[in-house]
Amino acid sequence: MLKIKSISKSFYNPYGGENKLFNNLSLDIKKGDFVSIIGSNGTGKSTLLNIISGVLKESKGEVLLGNKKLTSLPEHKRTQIISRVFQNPSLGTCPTMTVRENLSLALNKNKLLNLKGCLRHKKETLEDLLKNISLDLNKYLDVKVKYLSGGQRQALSLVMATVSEPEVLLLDEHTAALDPKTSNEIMELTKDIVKKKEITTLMVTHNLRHALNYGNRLIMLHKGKIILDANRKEKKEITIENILKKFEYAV
Amino acid sequence: MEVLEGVITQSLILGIMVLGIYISYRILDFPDLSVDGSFALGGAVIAISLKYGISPVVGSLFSLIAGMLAGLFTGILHVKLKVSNLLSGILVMLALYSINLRIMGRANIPLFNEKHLFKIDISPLIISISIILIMKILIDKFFQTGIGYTLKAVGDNPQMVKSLGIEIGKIKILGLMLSNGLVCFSGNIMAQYQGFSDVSMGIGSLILGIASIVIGKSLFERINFLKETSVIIIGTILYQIVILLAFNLGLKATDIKFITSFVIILFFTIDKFKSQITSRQVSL
Repeated sequence: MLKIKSISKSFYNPYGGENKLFNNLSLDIKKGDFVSIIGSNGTGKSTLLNIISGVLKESKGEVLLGNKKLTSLPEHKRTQIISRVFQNPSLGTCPTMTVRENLSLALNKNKLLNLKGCLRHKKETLEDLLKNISLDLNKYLDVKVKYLSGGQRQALSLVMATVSEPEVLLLDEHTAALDPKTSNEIMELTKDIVKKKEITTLMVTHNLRHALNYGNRLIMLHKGKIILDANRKEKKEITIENILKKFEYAV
Repeated sequence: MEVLEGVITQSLILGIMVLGIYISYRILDFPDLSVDGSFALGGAVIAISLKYGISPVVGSLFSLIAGMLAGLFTGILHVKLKVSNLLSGILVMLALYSINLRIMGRANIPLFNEKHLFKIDISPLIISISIILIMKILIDKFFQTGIGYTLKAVGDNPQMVKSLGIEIGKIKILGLMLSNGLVCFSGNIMAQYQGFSDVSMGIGSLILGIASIVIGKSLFERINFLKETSVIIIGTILYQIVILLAFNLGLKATDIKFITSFVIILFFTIDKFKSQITSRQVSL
């Protein structure tokens, strides 16, 4: 359903010439797939997400979502159907607004620009959204988000990104800034939400254990090329050691 | 007593302007200098409307629209042409100075003999209280709506608003239009109250607004039941009283600009120390 069709991306290099990152990269992701993307720094993982979400423009090629050509849509049109959670927990929420206000904004996605009251959702609806989160977000409905911890903020960002049932969810190292325990909690939450809502998900991560344990497809990028593409079955046989070896070889 | 009543009436009229500046300066984090031009634009529009025999209510509506147009230009300069926020404000302010002179035809138009709002047999204080109350309630209601929340969110975390599928440039332009509309409306009421319109009456509006906001916020922010709009109106009244006291101490009208700068710097300093103390407490 998400088709990346032979895209190329070059960056301008001030020392002459250009840096080619992707050269005819193609990727076909099925509906409901949960893809983990790994690879060393500078291999184009984030660039790939940025091209899909429209922050960066590809030099050549196109990105299709179903029959829709994403390539010709501006960023804010793409974000109407593609949600994203960033590494930095403060990028996904409004700090001076309460949890309730943040959730209401997300619940009203794509129907915000009108004169209807924004906080019209029942308390139960909101509490329901935060029900299975072990980070006690339920208690903090009327607390400003700037007083929450990074983990709580990231959990909230994740709930907000998925509440509007996006067609694609992009996770950009979304647990990297969290401690190991919280990071695992966020991963469990991610799994539950993605499974329940059947959202097609691309997750970039440096946590190999997360990459192996979650999702049904594993992709390893190196210098803009896919050097490993494992489905659910193949993935089960891969160990962290295998991947580490691949990293060594790739570097 | 009469002096105090006059000062409060004037503060309430200026309060409408400060509410406008609050939208650009506090919510959008946009120090919009074009308000200096918009305030005088309000005076110019109502002066000409009254001269042509248009009712003051319709004239006031015209000023609201004129201000929104000014805000639209500032917004387009900033959002579409990527001019910095300070410079786009200055450019529109300068342009408005000439435009205001064109509209009025001369630098000063007396309105004593025209039929304006304050010619009704109600005390000016009551009139200004009613106007600012209506404005305050409308603004509070607006910020409860989806679009109002989006506006607040643009100032808070533009990236998140982008994630919600909204073009933030448009929201910024809308905010600047509302802001300048309110400022221009306030200028129109002020011209009617003081009985003349002057092309230079808007000079220093932005700074005056910032001073009022800073005073209100640093003295009353912690009082929870007060809405931000109320805090700002109280700040405006307090600031005007400070100015009145300064006059009584023998300072001249020409010293006002100095006092304004001094008051702003003073309150920023207080805020700085306050935040240092609270951050120390948190780190303990």
